[in-house]
Amino acid sequence: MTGTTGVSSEHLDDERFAELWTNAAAEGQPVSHPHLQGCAECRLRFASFTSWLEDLRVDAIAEAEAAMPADRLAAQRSQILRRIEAGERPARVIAFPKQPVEARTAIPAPRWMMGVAAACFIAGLGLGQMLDLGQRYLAPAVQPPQLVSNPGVVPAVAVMNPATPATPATNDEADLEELEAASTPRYEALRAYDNFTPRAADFLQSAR
Amino acid sequence: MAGTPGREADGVAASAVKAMQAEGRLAEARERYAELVARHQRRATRIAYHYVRDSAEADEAVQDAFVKAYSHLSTFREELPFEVWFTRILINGCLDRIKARTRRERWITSMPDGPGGERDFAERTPGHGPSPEAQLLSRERRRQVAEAIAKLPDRQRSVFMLSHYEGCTSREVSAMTGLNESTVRVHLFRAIRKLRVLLGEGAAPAREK
Repeated sequence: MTGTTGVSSEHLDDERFAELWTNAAAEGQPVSHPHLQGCAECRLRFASFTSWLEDLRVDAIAEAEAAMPADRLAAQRSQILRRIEAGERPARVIAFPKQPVEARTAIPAPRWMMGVAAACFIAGLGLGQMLDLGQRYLAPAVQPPQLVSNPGVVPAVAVMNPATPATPATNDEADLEELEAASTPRYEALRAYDNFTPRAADFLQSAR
Repeated sequence: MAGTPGREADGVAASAVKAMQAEGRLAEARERYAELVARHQRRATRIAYHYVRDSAEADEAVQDAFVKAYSHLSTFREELPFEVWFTRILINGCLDRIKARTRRERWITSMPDGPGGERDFAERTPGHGPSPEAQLLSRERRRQVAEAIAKLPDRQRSVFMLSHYEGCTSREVSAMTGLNESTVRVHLFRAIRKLRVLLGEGAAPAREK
């Protein structure tokens, strides 16, 4: 924006008009310029300029007024007041829907059922523990395998005999002799080969 | 803008509503606030319409602004006129709406203006006003003006609308927009200069006497 100058020989151009008008509008004062007072042509052109601006304003306001007629404004006002009123009301807490009384009585009393279920569960656990412990202590007395000769059918095969109890007093020599006796062939043809085979008793004697 | 007596009345009403709100007399506060709404509603709707260029959206913007002003009335300071304080709330709301619409329009193609449009319906309604030719010319002129104003940068547009359409002084526009007073003047001057060029009225060079 250029500064305001005094009376000049030059006519005022559009930009100068805009500047004069802007300053006047900003202050809310009427336009006054020395050149305009003395120059009829510029006064006329400035009048045309202000008229153009005024037409813009009138058109814009008319358009806006047409877009919002009086009935819409009344509806808007009541809507504003409704919204304000709704905003001031305390928020309502909507209760969660409860079951009807009839439906509640139809259901069997859950407390004693829960008690019974808990008692059964605890009893089951206890019983399970007892059985488990019983198996754990009884099983070693029955289970230990033992090699026993079966002289009737196959003399050289060792068979597990679960019925025979363990004998902790048996020493190694007795075991070996027993094994040797069990493995001694019953057939005459094999006896010669057996004689060549060293005996455990021989080794034990030589060791002594 | 409202004159000084109107402003004084606004200030008194706004202070009274504020006091009533504080005392919990809400029904009375609403009733008193309704006076303020009635006094500023038309002007507020005009301003909103100039911004958003859609009557339904302008309606919503004005409603939002009044509701927001009521709920934040405790922050209103009497040294500023109520209408200036309120207009600032309204303008911010309108600018937010314009931003949101711009974002939406990136993704959604707007419907072309058809015979079912609100404005078209209003225009097609027979009446006793000007002739169809005059209406057509007027409509065309308004369209050109609206397009030209839409081409102005945001600040120039705001300043022009508030200064020229609503008759606000640069001080008032400064309070409403948060711009410096001298900046307001510069924006107003540039807006007018640009509109003259855009609307083809600006070919009036200075000549020697």
